[in-house]
Amino acid sequence: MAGLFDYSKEAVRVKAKKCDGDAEPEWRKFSVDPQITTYEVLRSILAKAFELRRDFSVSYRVIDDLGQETFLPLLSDWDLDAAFLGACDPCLNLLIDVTGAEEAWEPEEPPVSVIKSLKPLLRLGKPKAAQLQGLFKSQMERTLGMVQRALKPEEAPDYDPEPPEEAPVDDVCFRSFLDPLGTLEEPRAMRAAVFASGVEPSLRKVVWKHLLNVYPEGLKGKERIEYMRQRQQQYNALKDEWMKQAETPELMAITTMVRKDVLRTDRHLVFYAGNDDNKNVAALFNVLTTYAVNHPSVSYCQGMSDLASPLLVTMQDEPTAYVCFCALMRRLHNNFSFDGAAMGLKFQHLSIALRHYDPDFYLYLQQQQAGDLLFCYRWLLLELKREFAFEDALRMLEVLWASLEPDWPPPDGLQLQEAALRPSTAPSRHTAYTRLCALRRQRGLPSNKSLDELGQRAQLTTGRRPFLSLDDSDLAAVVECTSPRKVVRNLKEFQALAPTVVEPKNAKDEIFVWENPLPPSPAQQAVEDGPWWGDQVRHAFCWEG
Amino acid sequence: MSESYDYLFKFLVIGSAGTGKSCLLHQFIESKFKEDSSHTIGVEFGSKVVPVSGKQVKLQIWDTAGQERFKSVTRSYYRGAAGALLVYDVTRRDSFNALANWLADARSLASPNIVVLLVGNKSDLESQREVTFLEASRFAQENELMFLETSAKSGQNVVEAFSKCAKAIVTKIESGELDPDRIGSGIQYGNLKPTRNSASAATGRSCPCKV
Repeated sequence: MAGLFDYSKEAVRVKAKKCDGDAEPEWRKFSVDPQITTYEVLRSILAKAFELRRDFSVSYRVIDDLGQETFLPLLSDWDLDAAFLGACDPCLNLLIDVTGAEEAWEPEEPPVSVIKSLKPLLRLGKPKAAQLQGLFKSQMERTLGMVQRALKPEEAPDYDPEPPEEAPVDDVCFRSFLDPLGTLEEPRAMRAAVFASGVEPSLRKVVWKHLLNVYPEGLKGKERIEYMRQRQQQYNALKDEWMKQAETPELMAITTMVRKDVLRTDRHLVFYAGNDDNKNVAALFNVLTTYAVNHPSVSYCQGMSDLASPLLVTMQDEPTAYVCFCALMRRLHNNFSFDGAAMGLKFQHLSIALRHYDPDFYLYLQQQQAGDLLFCYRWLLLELKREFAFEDALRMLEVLWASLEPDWPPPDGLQLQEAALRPSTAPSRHTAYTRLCALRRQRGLPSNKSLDELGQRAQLTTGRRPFLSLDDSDLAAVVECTSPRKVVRNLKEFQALAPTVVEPKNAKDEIFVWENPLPPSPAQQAVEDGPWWGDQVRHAFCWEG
Repeated sequence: MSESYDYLFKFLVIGSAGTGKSCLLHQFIESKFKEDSSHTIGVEFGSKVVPVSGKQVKLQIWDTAGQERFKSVTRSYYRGAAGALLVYDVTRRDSFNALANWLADARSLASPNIVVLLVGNKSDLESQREVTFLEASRFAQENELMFLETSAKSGQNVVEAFSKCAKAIVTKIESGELDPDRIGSGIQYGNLKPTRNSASAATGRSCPCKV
């Protein structure tokens, strides 16, 4: 497609093979002009050529450095460029797979079912897409308006939530942030654009990996493809390892918990619907189990399935979803810690913000014995994912991620397992389980020691309660010392504030309040250092039975 | 129209993950089984006014997350609860084995006088049963709990479970064993304002037409 690349050829010959279950494969040959052929156009050519009325996936053949032939998914204009560039002579080989798509797409279906599935979005023509955008844009505006009214009744009585001025970030817009070799040159400008208006759904596969900090800084387009390929392979190896190992009590404890939750995560979506042997439910199970086995200090906790589900729905690929999940959890894993310190801090911030912006409402909640705001737990833990219809939640999440500074993984890339579990220089024959036992021994923690016992022992020695108190008395001192704050309402304010942003310790993901720099008071420092028993249990982990 | 009630009780629903706590609550409030129910994160709420011993009692129900990991926060929910449904799954022994821990938490963190009713849920799945009625009754007796088996799916005994627990609290109030005015009792007076010795007052109020 017309873009940043100077194609040497005016036409690319395409050889497409269609696989449909047990049916005989079919072949088609045609030529396209790479300057003008977009991903959408290619799909419609393929649909016509094979008379496809069902959903299908496209992948393209590449020969890697070792001379091995592999097929990479072709999911966007970006992939298509890579496909044209790397097309194996004499022609571009495509593989069309219609086996993966069970549900028939009925073009006459009204767009109300948008919440049911993401897939139709990718296939809808322009008029419908516009309709859909309008649908959830107006939904979002209504929700935002309600939140604004709830939070700021006095200061902004006539505040009209500004409709996003620009269309969501699309392929052309995204390319403007890349250099000719595909390196993301302006990560902050890209984030600002997403913050302002979200991402075109078909481009989410590409943009989300950047927003989630999957890639180290400065990778070229081709390097990113190779980077992802390596990580996908690494995931498959990690997954095979626990799948092959004998069912230890630890592994069973994980799989039992995960299975219980994936069977009730977003099952109203067509993607996860139907019988419990739905292949996407199984993929979500694999992603979460692999993560838990390879991150024993975090393991599995409820809520993770809600965080991983949108990634799998968007990426449509299990290994890629795992890589994205690891990137997301790099920021969020503290929220799932046993001591609850990170979540406690979030409640502190929320309480301070509420008291500052709406003292009346704050007082009302106090009177109703709801001043601890515990009803917001899910909002904070899942970053509001469950508070919106699924499709709207995707937009909300990407905007939220875009509001954060880039936090690239180190140059050697995103780690897909905990440091202690990574193979050392000497090859080890340890399984995940034996490594886990070793890790426990290192940390000097008997495996059956529960957090409760630790907490109770601490309570006996100090006479304090082993759970987080979110009482007002604890907050009062903090509130007194706070400086004026500002809610970020639009991109300009976001940019204006950005240079002065001080990120709260332990809470890089704080989104409610941007603080002006101010030396912390002793009380605040105490809050930020976590609860008094934090050190004792910070490294504690046990398996829930 | 604002609802009228004599008392408001704070109620907890506690127990291991996946035992059907949210489905019990949904069945109680909506009289329907909730298909595709998501696992609870943190806490969710429901409330319903039920008639108990001639009183209107509003139950403010805190439906908590079952996973151990959330305990650092869910423990704060216990404060000032008047009653609790302690739920296990009759088809899962591990959920029954965990009861002692849950009970210890409830008794130490809520009011010591908290009225607890043991609920063996999923009684419709008879063929998969792992915990017998007899065994659970014994546990209930040893720990001075009331006990019912329920099915959030069929609705069997669901209303009874909440009502029975509420009734026990009303009885304790009327006998003077529980003092609603004590801080942290989990009991508030409603807009109908009963007195502690309110049997006669209630009769007089409920039948004004007969005067």
